[in-house]
Amino acid sequence: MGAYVHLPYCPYKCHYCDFNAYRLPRAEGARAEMARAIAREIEAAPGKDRQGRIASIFFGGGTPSLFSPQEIARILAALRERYEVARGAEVTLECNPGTLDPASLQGLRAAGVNRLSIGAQSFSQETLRRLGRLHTPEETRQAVRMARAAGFANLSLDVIYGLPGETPEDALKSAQEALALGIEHLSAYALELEEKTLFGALAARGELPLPPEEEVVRAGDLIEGACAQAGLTRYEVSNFARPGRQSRHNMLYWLQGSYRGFGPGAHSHLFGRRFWNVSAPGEYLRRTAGGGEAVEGEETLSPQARMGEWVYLRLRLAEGFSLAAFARRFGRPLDAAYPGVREALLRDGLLARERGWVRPTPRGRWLLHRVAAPFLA
Amino acid sequence: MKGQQAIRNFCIIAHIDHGKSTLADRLIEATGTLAAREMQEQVLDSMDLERERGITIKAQAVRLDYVRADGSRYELNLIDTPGHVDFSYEVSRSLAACEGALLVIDAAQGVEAQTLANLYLALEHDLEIIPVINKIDLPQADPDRVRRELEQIGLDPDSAVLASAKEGTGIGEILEAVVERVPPPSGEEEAALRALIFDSHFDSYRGVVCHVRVVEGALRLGGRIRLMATGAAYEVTDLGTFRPAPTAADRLATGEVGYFAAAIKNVRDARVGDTVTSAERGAGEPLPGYRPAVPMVFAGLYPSEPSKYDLLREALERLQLNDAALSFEPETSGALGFGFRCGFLGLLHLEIVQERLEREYDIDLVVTAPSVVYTVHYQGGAVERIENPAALRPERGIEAIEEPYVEATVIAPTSFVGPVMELCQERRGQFKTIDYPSPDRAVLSYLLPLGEIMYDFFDQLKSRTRGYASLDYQLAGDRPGDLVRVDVLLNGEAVDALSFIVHRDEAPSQGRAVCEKLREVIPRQLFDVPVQAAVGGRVLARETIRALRKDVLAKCYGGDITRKRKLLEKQKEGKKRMRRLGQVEVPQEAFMAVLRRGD
Repeated sequence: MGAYVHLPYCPYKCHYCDFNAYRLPRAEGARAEMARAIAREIEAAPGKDRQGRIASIFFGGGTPSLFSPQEIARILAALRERYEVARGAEVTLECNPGTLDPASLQGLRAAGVNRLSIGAQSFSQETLRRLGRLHTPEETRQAVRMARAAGFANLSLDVIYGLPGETPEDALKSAQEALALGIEHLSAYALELEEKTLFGALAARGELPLPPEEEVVRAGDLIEGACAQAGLTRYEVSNFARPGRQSRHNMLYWLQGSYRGFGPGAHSHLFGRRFWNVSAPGEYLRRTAGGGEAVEGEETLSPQARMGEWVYLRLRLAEGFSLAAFARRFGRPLDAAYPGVREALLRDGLLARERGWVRPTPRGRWLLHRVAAPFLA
Repeated sequence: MKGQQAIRNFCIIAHIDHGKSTLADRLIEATGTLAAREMQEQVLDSMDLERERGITIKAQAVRLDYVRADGSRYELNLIDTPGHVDFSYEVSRSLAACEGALLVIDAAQGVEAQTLANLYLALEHDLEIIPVINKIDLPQADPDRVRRELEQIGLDPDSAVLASAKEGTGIGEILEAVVERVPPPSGEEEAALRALIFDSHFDSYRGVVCHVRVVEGALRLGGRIRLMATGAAYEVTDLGTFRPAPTAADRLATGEVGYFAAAIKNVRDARVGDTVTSAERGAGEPLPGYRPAVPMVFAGLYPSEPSKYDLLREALERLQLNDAALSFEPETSGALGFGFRCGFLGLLHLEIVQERLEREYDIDLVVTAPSVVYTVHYQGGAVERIENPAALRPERGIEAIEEPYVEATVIAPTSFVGPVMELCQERRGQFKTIDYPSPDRAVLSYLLPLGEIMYDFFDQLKSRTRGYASLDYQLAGDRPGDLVRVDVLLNGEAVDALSFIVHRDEAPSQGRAVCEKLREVIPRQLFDVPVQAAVGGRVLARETIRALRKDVLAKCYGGDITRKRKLLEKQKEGKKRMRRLGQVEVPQEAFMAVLRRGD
C-alpha cells in the first residue's frame, strides 16, 4: 500500500498546468497550517485503512519543495504514527529547481525522504520561458548536484516534449541533457492541452504553434532511444528507469494497488473503492479543522469496470500482462471476457504477437486508448 | 339572423411574423369565446397540444359567437392556416373551407412573398379579401406605404383596416368587416351531404378526428357517412365545434364548421381534401380540389443499431397514423444495412419526423442526404422514378433524366435584386419575370430545380439580402437536365448512401467539396483513408484522411485514475454514434456532408 500527500502550493502557475495547485498565499504560516491540517487528516483516517504496510510515500503538488523540511518531517511522523511504514520504503518528494538549497536538502534527507522527482521540463531557456517557468537549465543541473551532495541516490527528472515551437531534435537535446546528469529515472511526458490553462485557451484560438502529431511521435521515439543508450529502459508509457529504479509509487497506480491520499484533492484507492478529497485548500482546511472528513466524492467500481481498468492500466506498462495473470485474477481467460478483442488488436498490429503475453506494440502504445477502449465498459 | 345568413367562415393569411396568431387571440378574446382570464391558460394549452402533435394539427378552426351592436348574433368560424411552404396543399384546403380572408400585413415590413402567395391562393378560391395593416403601433410603421403596395397588388387601399393586435386596436372594426364583407355560405340545405375535410388528427380514444366544413346538406351524430376518395363508410360517433375546446353537438348544418369522429383508424383513410357524404344518399360528385399528399423529398432512415430496425418500423407506423404525408418503404443499403426510404413534404417535415423518432422513440438514426425524385428514361424506353440516387443504373444506358422544378417568387428591396439574381443563377435558375409593385420593391420570378433549393437556398437568400428577401414557391413539373450521379468512395469502396445527383458541370466542384467535407468530419482511423468522388468510375476529386498516430494520455496525476477512465469512456460513447463502413468509422454528420457541401 502507498500514501500520497498533496501539497497544493506553487510560487507561480505554469502555462500548461491544470493540477490542483494554487499560488502560495502571502500570509505567513500558510504552509505550516496546511502541513498541520494534513497531519490531522492522517491522524483521523479511519481504522479500516490500517491494512498493509506502506511501501511508498509520495509528496506531490504543487511544489512540495516550498515546504520546510520540518513540515515534511511532521507529515511523515504522522504517517509513521498511523501506519506501519516498511523499512526501506520509497519516499519521494517532487521539487522544482530553484526552490532547493543544501540545507533544505540535508533536512529532507534527515526527515526520511530518499527520492527526489525534479521538474526540469526542458533544458532550453527559451522553452522554459514559454512554459511560464521561472528557473533556468543551470538551476536544474545545480539541483541535481546539490541533491547528490546531500546523499540522494535516487533521482528522477521530468521533461515535457511536443512543446510549442519545438522540433523533435530540440526535445531529444533536452532529454539528453537530463540523462547526462546521470539520473536513475526519467519521466518524459508528451504535452497535453488542458482546457483551463493558458495553453489550452491559446490552442483553442489556434494561437499555439504546436508541432504536428507525427513530430510528437518522432520526438517520443527519439527520447526512448536516448534513454536506452543511457541505460534507462521504458517501463511505462512515459517512464524510463535504470534496472530496479522504477518508481514504486507509480507502479502502485498501474498495478491497481491500494493507496491512501491526503491533502486537498488527493485521490485514494482501496480495494476497488476510489474516493477523493475536496480540491480547494480553504475548504480542505475548514473541513479538517473540526476533525471532519475531507472526502468529497467516491465511486465503487463494478467488477466489470474494475476488470477493464485493470487491463487498461497494465497495458500502459511496457511488459503488459500475462494471460495467466488475467485468468488468475478474474477467474476466466481474457478471450472469454472480451471475445474477439485481442484478435482484432493483433490483426491491426496494436498488440505484439507473443505467446502468453498481452503487450502493446510501439504503435499500439502511441494508440493506447484505441487499444484499451474495447476493454472499458 | 338565421341559418347560413348568420354564418361567416374566414381565415387569416399572413407572412410569417406579421402577427397572425396574436390577431387570432384578440378575436377570440373580443368575442368572449374565452374570458380574458381564461385566455392565457386555454390558448396556451392548445398550443402545447399543437406542439405535441407536431405538424399534424396544422390548421385549427375556432367558432366565435359575435353579437353586433344591434343585437344580431353571428357565428364566425376562424380557420387557421399552416404557415410553412412545405404545407401549401393544406393551406389550399383550409382556404377552400372559407368565403373570406383577413390578409394581415405588417405595417413596417409591407407586402412579402408569402403575403402575395397566400393572396393569390385566396383569390384562386374566390375569397373576399379584407386587408389588415397590423402593428400600426410600431415606430417604424408606415401604413401609407403599405396602402400604396396594396394598390400595386390589385387591392383597394381604402378597404384596409388599421390594427394593432398587440394593443387591441382595430379589433372591433375587423369583426364588423368580417360580418359586412365576407359573404355568408350559400350551400343547398336540402342537397345530399358534402363536407370538406380540411384537417385531421389522430386521437387515441376516438380515432381520427376530422375538421370539416359542411358545404351542402348536414352532418348528423350517428349518421352513416362515406368518404368519397376511399369509398369507406363509417358511423359518426362524435361531432361538435371548437370554442376553442371541443364542444359536442348533434349536427353540423350547411355552412357550418366543426369536427367529427367516426372510429376511423388512420389519417390516411380520412385525408385532407376528401369529401364526406352520406352513406345512404350519397352525393354524385366530390368537392373539387382533392389530391393525395405527395412527398417531395426522400431520405433513407437507418437505425444506428441494426437491432432497432423493428422498433423503427413500428415508430414510423405510429407516426403515420397522424401524418398522411409521411411515406416509407423498406430499403437496403450496402453501407448502412436495413432501413427505410421515407418521403416527406419538405426538409422541415423531415426534421420534425427525425426529431420525433429520436426523442419519442429513442432511436438513434443515420439519415442520408435528402433527394428529390428523378424521372429516368433508359434506352429502350423504360422510365423509372428514382427516390434514391443509388437506384440509378447508368450501365443500362440513360437517355435523359428529368428533375422537379418549382416556380419561385422572391420579393426583395430593389437594392438586393443583383444578389438575388446571382443566387438564382448559381442554382441553375431560369429567369422569368421581374415586377416592381412599389419603387423600392422587386418581385422576381424564377424557375428553379427543387433539388437546388431544398437545403440552404432560403438561408443563402436571407444572408445575401441581410434578411430582407422573402420566398415562396410552387411545383412546376419535371424538366430534363444534364444530370450525373457522383459516387463517393471511402477507402476504395463506393458508399451507396453517399451518392448524389448533380448537374454535369457542377460534378467536379461538388465532388471536391464533398471530399473536403468528409475529410473534416470523419475522424482519423488507424490507417490512411482515401476519400474519392467519381462519376462513372472516373475520379474527380481525392482527399486523404491521415492515419491517427497518437491517442494516449501521457500522465496519470496523483493516482486520479477516475478522471482518466471517464475520458476514455467518453471517447467510447462518441464511437457508439458512429457507423462502421467496411474498415472506416463514419459519424452521422458525414451522410449530411453531401447536403452541406456548400458550407
